[in-house]
Amino acid sequence: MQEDTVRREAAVTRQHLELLLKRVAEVRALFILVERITPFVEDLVEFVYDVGPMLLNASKALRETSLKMPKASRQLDDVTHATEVATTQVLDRVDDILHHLEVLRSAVDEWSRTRRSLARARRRARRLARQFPENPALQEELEEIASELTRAAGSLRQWRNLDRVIESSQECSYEIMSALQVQDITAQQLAAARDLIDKVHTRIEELLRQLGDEEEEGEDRTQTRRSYDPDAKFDFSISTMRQEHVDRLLESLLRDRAYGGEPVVREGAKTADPA
Amino acid sequence: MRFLAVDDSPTMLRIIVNTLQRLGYPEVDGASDGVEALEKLRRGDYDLVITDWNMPHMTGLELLQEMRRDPRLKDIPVLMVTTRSVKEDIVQAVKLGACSYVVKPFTPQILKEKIDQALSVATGR
Repeated sequence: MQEDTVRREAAVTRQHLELLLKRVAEVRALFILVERITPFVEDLVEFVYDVGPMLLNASKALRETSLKMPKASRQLDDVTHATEVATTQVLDRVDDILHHLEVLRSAVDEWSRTRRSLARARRRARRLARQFPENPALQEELEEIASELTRAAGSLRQWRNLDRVIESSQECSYEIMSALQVQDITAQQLAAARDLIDKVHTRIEELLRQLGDEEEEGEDRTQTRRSYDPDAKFDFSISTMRQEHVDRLLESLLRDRAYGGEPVVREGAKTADPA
Repeated sequence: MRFLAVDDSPTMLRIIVNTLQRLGYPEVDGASDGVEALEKLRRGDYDLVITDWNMPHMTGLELLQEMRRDPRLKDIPVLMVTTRSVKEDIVQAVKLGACSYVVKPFTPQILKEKIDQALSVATGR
């Protein structure tokens, strides 16, 4: 009985010892692992130690850049506004010039009518003179009046080219007006640049938040923005080329529709834009 | 002939109105986006709409769509005047019933040509 008890105790003790040895082996393996990992951990600590100030610097640089971005956007808006004001002023002056040219045209028309009535009066004076051959003094007087009328008509004649000058000035004014489309197109280009700045700004702010840097008091970005075409270009030769391509495409699309088909984009060209 | 010009750029709107008047169409009203244009169209009688594409609140294409849904406005010819010349855009505009298409910057001659084209399409309906 006592012998059995001793045997059981010995078995339990052996089990405990085996377990203990197993644990010791595990701890040993762990130590070996720690020993192997330690250089990596040291490297990691060193890396964090080095990267910390770098991140701090990067965060500062990003914050500075981020703070400048709303100003850059505002400056772009100011440029758009300034060009709009300047263009409006030019358009006002073009309107004034066109109005003055209209006044001049009326004056030229009036001068033409006056010249024709002077010519009629001169012919009547000469006709009258011929009706009184017995009165040379009256004839001489009438001839003098006719000459006076001829001189007056002649002085008005010098303005006969004014019509062409007015016409060419009107053409120039209309050309200036057409060229002012540049304002709309540059405004679209600036709106595209502004949108890009805003997108970069938002991304930087997100990054700074992730780095633990709280966003500074920002500007209201909810205001209505101008819609734009990022590919807008001010070039009459390009727009003429684009127009020709659009015309060809439009013709074929309208033909498809006329024959009851749906206008489709055929394989090949993705764009009608040759530029 | 009474026209409605629609553009969110005050400069461009003025240029279009002045050009149309020079071309012999003195009755031209202006609107700065699709919403204002729709209001004006529902209040008055217009023979042609000349509209930009990119506009806030309601684009030119949305305006075209709204017009085609409205029985009173659906037959008014619409001319798109835009910097956009991507093929898909043109196809979309034609699908929605745009009569003609002018690429910015335009010359008065081109605008005149396309207006005549749009008006002739409208009278041929």
